[in-house]
Amino acid sequence: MARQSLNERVTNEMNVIIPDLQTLSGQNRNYWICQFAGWGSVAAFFTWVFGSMMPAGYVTMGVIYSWGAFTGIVLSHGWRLLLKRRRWFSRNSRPPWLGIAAMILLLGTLQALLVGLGFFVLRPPGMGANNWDWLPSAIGGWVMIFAVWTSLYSYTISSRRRRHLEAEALRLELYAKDAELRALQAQVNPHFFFNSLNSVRALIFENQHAAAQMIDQLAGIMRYTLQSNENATVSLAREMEAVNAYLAIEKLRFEDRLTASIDIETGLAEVLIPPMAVQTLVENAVKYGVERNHAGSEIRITAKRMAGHIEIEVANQGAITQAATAKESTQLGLENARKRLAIMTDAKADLQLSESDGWVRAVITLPEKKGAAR
Amino acid sequence: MIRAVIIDDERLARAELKRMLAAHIEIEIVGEAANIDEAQRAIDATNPDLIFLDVQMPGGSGFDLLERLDWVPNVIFTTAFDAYALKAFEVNALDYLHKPIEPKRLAAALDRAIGQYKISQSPVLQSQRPKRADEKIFIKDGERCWFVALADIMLFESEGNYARVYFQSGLQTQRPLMLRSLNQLEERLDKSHFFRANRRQIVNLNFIGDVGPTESGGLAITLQNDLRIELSRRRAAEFKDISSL
Repeated sequence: MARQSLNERVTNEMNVIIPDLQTLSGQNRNYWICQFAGWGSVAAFFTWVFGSMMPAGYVTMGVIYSWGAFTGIVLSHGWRLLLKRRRWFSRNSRPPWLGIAAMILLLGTLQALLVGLGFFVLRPPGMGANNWDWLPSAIGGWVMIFAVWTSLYSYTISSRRRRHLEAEALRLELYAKDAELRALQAQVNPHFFFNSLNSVRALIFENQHAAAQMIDQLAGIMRYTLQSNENATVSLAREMEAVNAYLAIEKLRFEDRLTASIDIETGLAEVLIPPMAVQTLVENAVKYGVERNHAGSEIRITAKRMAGHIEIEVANQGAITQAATAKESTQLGLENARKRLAIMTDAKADLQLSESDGWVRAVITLPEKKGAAR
Repeated sequence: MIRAVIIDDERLARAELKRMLAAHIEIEIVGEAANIDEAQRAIDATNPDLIFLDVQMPGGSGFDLLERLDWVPNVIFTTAFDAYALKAFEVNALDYLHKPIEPKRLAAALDRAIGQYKISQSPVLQSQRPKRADEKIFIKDGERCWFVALADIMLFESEGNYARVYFQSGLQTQRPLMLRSLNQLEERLDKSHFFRANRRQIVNLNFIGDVGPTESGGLAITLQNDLRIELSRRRAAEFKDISSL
C-alpha cells in the first residue's frame, strides 16, 4: 500500500459524508420543494375542509388559500433569512427560544391577517361576518403551522450540522493516524551512524578495501532508512539487504563479539512488512546483546511460515533488561515498530519480546495473506 | 610527558585515537582498556594523568568507572552521540570529544589537559599523590554528576554506608551523597587538611570560620557557610594540637 493512499482514503471517506460544494444548490432546491409542497398541502387541506363546509365552494376557497400559501411562503422565507443571518439554529449555544416564540406568534398573526384580507376582498357567501370573532382561532391555527415549520427547519439544520461534525471528527482522526504513522517512521540512529564513521576513519589507515566497502554499506543503510519513510510496506528481501549491510558494519565494530546467522524460509522473500521493522529489532539485539556485553552475542534472524501466519524472529543472547529502558531510543523503536505493524495490518500483526534459555527473542507475527495491508 | 590511558570497547576506536595521539609527542599512552574492569586495573597499575573515556561500554559505563575510582585523573570523554549522558554535568567544565574526533578539537582538549597538568606539577603543589589537595573525586548522585577537587570540599558527613559531601558550587552549597564510608575516606584524606571532628564528620580545616568552647568542655567549630560542628573533649585536644602547628 503506497503511503499516499491513506490520504486518498481520507478524501474518499469524506466524500461519502460531506456533500461537496456542488450539492449546495441541491440543498437549496430541496428547500424550495419542501416549501411549495408544505404550503401547498396546507392550502389544499384548508380548501378541502372549508370548501366542503361552506356554501362558497371549492373555487373561492381555493383562491383564498392559494393566496394564503403564497403569503406563507413569503413570510416563512423571510423568517428563514432572519434565522440564517442571526444563526439562531446553526451556532453552538442554545437557540433563544423566547425570541423565536415571539417571532412565531408575530408570523402567525400576520399570516392570519393576510388570509383574512383574502376573505375580506372576496367576501365568500356565508362567511361575510363583519366582526373579528374569527381572528383568535385563525391566529392559533397559523401559529401552530409556523411552529411546525420552525421545528422542521431547526431539525434539518441541526442534523446537517451533526453530520458535519461527525465528518470533521472522522477526518481529524484519519489525519492524526497519518501523522502518527509519519512520526513513527524510523530515523537514522545517530549513535550507530557516528560510531560507524569513526570506525571507517580508523579502517582507512588499516585496510582501505574494507573501509571502502564499509562506506558502501553505510550509504546503503542511510538510503534505505531515508526511503523507508516513503513506503508503508517493503518486501522482507529488501529489508534483509539493509539488515545485512547493518550487520556487516557492526561486525567491523564489534569483531569477535558479534556473530550473526540468517535463515529465511524460501517463499517468504516477498512478504510485506513495515520498513525498518526487522532492522529495529536487529539494532535492539545488537544494543542489548552485543554492545552491553563483553562476551558479545550471536544474533539469529529467522523467518518461517507457521499454520496461518508468518513468524519473523530476531534473537540475541542475554536477558531483558527492564531497568533504565524507558527513556532509551531503542525501547521507543520497539514500541514504534509495534505501532507501525498495528497500523499496517489493522492490528492483526503482533510483536512480542520474550526471554528463555539465555536468549531474548523478538517475534513479529504477521497474518498469512501476502502483503497484509488493507 | 603526560601519561594517558585509552578506554573504549571498540578496537578500531582505540586504534584511531592512538593514531591521532601519535602526533602529540607530549602524550604517552601507558595503557588501554576495553571495559571498566580492565580500565580500573590499568589505572591502578599506571597512575595515569589523563584518561580518554568512552561513555557507553559493556559491563558498565564510563561514569560507573569514575565512581569506583578513589581519585580521578583528568578525564576526556569520547562519545559518538550521548548528549543526554553528558547533560548530567551542570556546573563542572568537562571535556568531551565527539567521535569521529576532529584533530583540532583533540588538540584543544589536550592543551587544556596539559595546562592543568602543569599546574598540578608545579613545585608548590607537588607532594605525595594520595595527599594532594588538588586531587579530584567523582560524585554521581542520581542524575547529577560532579568532579570536585578535594580542596573545595568543606565537609564529609556520614549517612550509613554513604557520605554526604558539602562543597560550594557557584553560590550554592551542593550536598550530594557518595558511596563511601567515613572511615574509608579518612584513610586516604590528607591529615594536614582534613580533620575527623567526631564519629559523623570530617571537616576541611581551610573552611573553618570560627572556633569557640562548648559547655561540656569541647569545642564548637563554625564553618564558613555557618554549619556548626561539635568536637568532643578528646577531639578538641587533637584539634588544638593540629591548629597550633
